[in-house]
Amino acid sequence: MRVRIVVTGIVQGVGFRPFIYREAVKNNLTGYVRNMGDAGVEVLLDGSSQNIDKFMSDLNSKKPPLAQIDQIRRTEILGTNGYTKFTIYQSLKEVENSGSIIPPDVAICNQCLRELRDPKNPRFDYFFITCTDCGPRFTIIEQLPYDRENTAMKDFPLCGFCKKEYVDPKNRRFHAQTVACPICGPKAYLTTNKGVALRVQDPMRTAGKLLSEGKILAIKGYGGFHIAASTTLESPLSILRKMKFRQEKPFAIMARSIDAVKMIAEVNSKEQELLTSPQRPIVLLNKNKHYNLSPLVAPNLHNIGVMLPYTGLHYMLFDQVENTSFVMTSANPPNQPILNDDIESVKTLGETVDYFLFHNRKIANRCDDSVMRVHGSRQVFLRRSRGYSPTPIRLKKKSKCCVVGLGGELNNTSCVLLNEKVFVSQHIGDVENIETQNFLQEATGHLYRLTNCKAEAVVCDLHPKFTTTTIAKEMAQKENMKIVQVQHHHAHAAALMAEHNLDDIIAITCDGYGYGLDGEAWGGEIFYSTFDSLRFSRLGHLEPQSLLGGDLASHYPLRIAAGILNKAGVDIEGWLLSKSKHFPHGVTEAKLVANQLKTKKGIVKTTSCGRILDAVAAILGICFKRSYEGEPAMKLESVALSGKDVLNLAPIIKGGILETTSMFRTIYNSLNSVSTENLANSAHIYLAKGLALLAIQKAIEQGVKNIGFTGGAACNQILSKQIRETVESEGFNFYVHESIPAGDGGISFGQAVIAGFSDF
Amino acid sequence: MCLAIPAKILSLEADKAQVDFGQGVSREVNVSLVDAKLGDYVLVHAGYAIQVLEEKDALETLSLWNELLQASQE
Amino acid sequence: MEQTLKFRDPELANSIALKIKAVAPKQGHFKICHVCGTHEWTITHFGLRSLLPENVEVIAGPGCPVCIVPAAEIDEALLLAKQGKVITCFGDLLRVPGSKFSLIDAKAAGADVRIVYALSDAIKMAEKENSKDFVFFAVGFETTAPITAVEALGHLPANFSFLVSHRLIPPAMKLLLSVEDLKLNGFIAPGHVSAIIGLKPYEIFTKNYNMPTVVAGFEPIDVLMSIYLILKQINTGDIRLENEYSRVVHPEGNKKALDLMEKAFEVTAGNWRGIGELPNSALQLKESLKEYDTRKKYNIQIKQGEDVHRGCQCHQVIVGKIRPNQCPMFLKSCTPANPVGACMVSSEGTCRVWAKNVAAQT
Repeated sequence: MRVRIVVTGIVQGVGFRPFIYREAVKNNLTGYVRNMGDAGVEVLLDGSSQNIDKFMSDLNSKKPPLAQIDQIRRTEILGTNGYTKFTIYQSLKEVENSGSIIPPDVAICNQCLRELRDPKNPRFDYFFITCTDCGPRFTIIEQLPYDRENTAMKDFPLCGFCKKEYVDPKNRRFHAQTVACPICGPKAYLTTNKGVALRVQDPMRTAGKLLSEGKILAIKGYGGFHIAASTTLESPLSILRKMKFRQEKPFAIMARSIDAVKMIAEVNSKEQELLTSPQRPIVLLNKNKHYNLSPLVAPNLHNIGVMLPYTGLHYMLFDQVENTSFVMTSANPPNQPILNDDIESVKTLGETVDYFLFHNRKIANRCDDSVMRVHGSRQVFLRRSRGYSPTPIRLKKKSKCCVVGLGGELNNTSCVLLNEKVFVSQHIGDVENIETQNFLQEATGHLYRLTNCKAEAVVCDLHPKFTTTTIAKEMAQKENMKIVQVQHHHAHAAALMAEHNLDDIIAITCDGYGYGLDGEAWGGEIFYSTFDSLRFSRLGHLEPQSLLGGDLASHYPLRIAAGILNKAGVDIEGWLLSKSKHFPHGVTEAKLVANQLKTKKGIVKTTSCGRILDAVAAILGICFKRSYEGEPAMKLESVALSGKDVLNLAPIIKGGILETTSMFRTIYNSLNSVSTENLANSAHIYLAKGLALLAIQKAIEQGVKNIGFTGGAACNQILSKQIRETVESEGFNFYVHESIPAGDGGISFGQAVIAGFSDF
Repeated sequence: MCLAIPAKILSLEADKAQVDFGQGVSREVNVSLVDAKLGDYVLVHAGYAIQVLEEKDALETLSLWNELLQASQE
Repeated sequence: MEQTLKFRDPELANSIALKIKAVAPKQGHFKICHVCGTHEWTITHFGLRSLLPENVEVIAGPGCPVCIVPAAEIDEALLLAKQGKVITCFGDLLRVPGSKFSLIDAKAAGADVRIVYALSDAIKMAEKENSKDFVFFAVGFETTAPITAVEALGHLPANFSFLVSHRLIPPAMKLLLSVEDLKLNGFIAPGHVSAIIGLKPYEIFTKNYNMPTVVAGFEPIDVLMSIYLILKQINTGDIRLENEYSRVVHPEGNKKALDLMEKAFEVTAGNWRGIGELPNSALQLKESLKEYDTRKKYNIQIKQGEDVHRGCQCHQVIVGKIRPNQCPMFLKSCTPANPVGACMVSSEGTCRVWAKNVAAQT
């Protein structure tokens, strides 16, 4: 019997062909396997029908861990010219280039980890041990097809031993493009902070010891550099806090094992699954009662970002020390993309660190770690990057054309929509400065090349002054593409619909800021949106509040609080003066703010949910200065988690607007009688219930069954849980993001699906 | 904390020395508890040198062990 | 130079083990006691107990300076932390339970407790943050005490003081000789403590108590050698003080260090957690250094604390009366991740050493 099988899914770069080869040979079948790029993998099998059936069942049950089978099409064919053996055919060049899936980086697998520790193995103690099932992929691929010569491994020609394994179908390194060993592979070395190499026998373990002694190191990984330090010693942490201009922003840590994580944090089964997954993201976990790390690691927050080691190099750091974790934060100057060039890193980081741990392999694509958290048992992306990008998100429908989305301004990503796949880039960051802009263009260009697409349209935000808007206009002109501008919160809503294959939705979209249709500052919105339309309806929103001092208000939330309390009838001048020490310019500034309220001149208004949370944080004395994105709201959430909704306020909704002023009045009047945790919690519940009820009202009016919650505030556990409860209790379907970030990292995706599925 | 590790003095100034624990990386150690000179091996405990190690003492250990093992060779 | 000595050579180890079997008396049960957490680590990690004959037992005495800090002294540190002083110490101390709380509880409640890698780091911090009061919780035996001494006699900023909790080993060894049912037959004396104090302090054990005493190094060969030497002494009846660690330990010790200790400290009675008061077993800063003595500076003295918590058997473990695996909580409710008693907290604690080398214990 002879059959032809076509397998589609994630079947490239995951050891699929060697697997097919081994299974065919094992089952006494002849024929061939061939990579067909976008069309999948083709297998021709010739043999007895029992053997073919056995092969088919093994195909599903024994496939390589990273492979994902979406579809298997099987046809019986005629033909008599016998195949004498089973062969892996060369992939045709054109075929390789048409939109095949580029594999993301994969953390070291357990088998390689065992070999790393086995004194009899030739790769014993080799820090970059990898195989077909694990290792860097995206970060080293310079161009397609995915062959060693097209990756950063081209600088490391295979030695005889590795070559033998590479060509042996029975070996677990058969066709492993990243195969290497201590003789022919990348080497690691320790240098001073001026880049002078040190003659050290064991650079990784020495690096670990230096960290345990209080030194600060820059460590080169797969997609860039990390800055590492002890999590318990005072000195290195206070130096880091000063140098990185990050007084308060939490540092992520790398723990030596899952048991070490459990010593300091609560880990549920979903969190454990994510932590130990091949993607190895940073997962935000709740600190537990045995948490004993320095308060300088994650100041004033109830949670901490933890990841497990993802290469042999990182595991080896822990070998000769007692430390259960090290700070492992991305080594980038504030608001600039992660460094990937050795010389550049010595220049930029030489002042901060004591030593560098380098390796001599180039990083082709910079890629930050991914960051996630878990709500209940659902995964929530805060940042989708290493391990996930650029694996495409698969939509249920094919787009009308190929589109590139450039995203917005903060926490940005870009993406390419090709047919039914959306390839989202790694985390780019805040596109305000030239370095990040260059990174955006580099990353986008790379996606182009890897997908070999020809985009017909470029999508960007409505904001006229965004850098991405300017870049989009330039691109449209140069490449003769159409340009589409999409409202920020509409992009969020569309992303949610696309992820869950919905035709319509009432989307609760909450974040810090998005450019509204009328140029206003939006951020607490109820939209009605349908999938194939450029249009959306803004059916409801939060009560507009004043932003005294415009942008300054988002940095100093007392200003927002002042505007709201003034509206609520509080003697604002007195209150501001009592808080004057929290203003950078003290009493003078307090008086100026009070004055602006009196004259009412030039005050910008906003419907932002983020700013409401910031204001509550300021009134409760939890946070007076926003030194990093989301800081006041995150700290407010931390406090609220230990409180209860004692105020139990009934949401006031009038004409599609959820009022917030009265809530603030009540909070202000309860400052001395209700605890801070309870006030914080009550504010969250009021907002959540109010938004949910408003959304339900609009859903009923529009005859829509789907309600969703998106925007950066959807990462807030309390809001998300309460909105879900309220919405589901009224019988509606409730949706949140699971495959892409709810925050601005998901904007490009939303932009692209709007342009790709509507007529513009 | 009895843990103390031998290290070689690479440079010396007043009561501070740069020492190498054999890893190729030098660290600073306080030598005010010993009389040490450049090139000496010292035993380091919690950032301070507590004893100078002499080659002849090491050799003595070797001969002690050998002696003990030779003796009672019944 | 150290490389020519084969400290971990398995062949050498085996030939010493054979010699041990040959020289150990066939009748009777022999208990050899060491008083150093690092010795216990070597013994446990390299599985040395499995090389010994059935009737020879090595037990661990109170060799962990963190484990014997009385709860009252932790309480003193907590009180100071509550008063807003910055408490600096080595990592081990953080989770040792006081009467009710530990330093890590204080830290979680907002106290300024900082772990340092070396005493010099704490002093540097105090110099920098001169508006705060810094306290260094000085714990350790004679290996560590000279470090406190040299700094206390040096140039200290006015906002720095020592909460001294140093103890001396020989008095603890003396105590073990009087513990009921213990019936020791020999001592392995601690290597690095001896590097400081020399051999003289151990003379009373051989002269007055007829107790074989051998100063041992920390490599497995060192420990096996000293066990051999002790058994040989018992066999021949020729009881004396021997120095196996002569490459590091000189008979006169470290004179410079001893002089500094003499200048800085007074010897007083000392309270040992789980043991009680031992005469002449603790160090206190001399009157002339009182401005750097935390207790005198802030007028703090807590005499009584709750050393033994319900169910904890540390007080039995540290005098060698029971082994860690004879404690009902060992590796069940008391683990390295969730320690109950001090022996599981410190990296030198007998229970922690056993827990981390479980495979070697069967």
